Amino acid sequence: MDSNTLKWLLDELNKYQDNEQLFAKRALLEQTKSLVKEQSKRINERQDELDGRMWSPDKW
Amino acid sequence: MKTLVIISHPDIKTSTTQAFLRDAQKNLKQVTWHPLDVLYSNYQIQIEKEQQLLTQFDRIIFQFPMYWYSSPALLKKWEDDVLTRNFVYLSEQASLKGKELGIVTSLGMPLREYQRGGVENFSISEMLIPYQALAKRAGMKFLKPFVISQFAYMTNQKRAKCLIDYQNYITNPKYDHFANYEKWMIQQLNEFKQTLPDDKQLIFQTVIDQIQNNADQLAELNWEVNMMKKKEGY
Repeated sequence: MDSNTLKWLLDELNKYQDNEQLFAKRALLEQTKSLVKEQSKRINERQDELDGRMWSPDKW
Repeated sequence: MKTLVIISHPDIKTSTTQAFLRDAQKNLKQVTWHPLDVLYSNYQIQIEKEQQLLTQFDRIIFQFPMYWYSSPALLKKWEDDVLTRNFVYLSEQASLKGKELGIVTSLGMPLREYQRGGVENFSISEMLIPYQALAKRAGMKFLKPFVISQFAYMTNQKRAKCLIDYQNYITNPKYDHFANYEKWMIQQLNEFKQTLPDDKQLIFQTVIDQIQNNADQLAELNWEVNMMKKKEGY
């Protein structure tokens, strides 16, 4: 997920969160923001790991 | 999956932690709230009725504040009365075999004090060994405990996390795995979408779709990494 997509997701979730009064619904949206940040982190880590393994010295 | 939450708290009617947890589960299908102190304030437990109830659920949760490193007295009384040898032992009726046992416990002290060198010096896992032993004897799977530390001092952000993590713990069949957490969250978001006006539902669906795309991309990357590790002989 690129940084623009992540920003768009977080902005959208913030908009829905601002319109909610109920704590349980606000909590769900808050944790959804944490979820997408974690997805983004894990996707980047896996992509870095793949790049690292492809460039392993024993494959040169 | 059906979950039975058995609560033991002598001050259940005034406890803010229990009120918070009760609100967290009140709209969840498949979850039954079973407050012992409300049902059995006289300590006269209806054994057959309780045993019959237990057989109907897949995940059984003991939920209580930690009192002197154990549960309040009524839960122990309930265990002693309801969990009879005939009902529990694998060599007898084995009525709980294959079910899961989870613990939700709240602490007045910070969690960091429950370790070697901390004020309490013993871990939560050590304190919960009797429940783990019970699960083993009954042929149940013992789940990692869900610990709530110093609820009164939590910020709203921490309470939001606590609420969703608790719902995940009591309703998600594989609550402790990230891919399953993603799947569970998407289910919650679909239910949330239904509460929105029609015009907002469409836009929110694109949010859900993107989260699903992320989950698919991550699953694919995990697969590629694992394949590469296999090729490398890991």
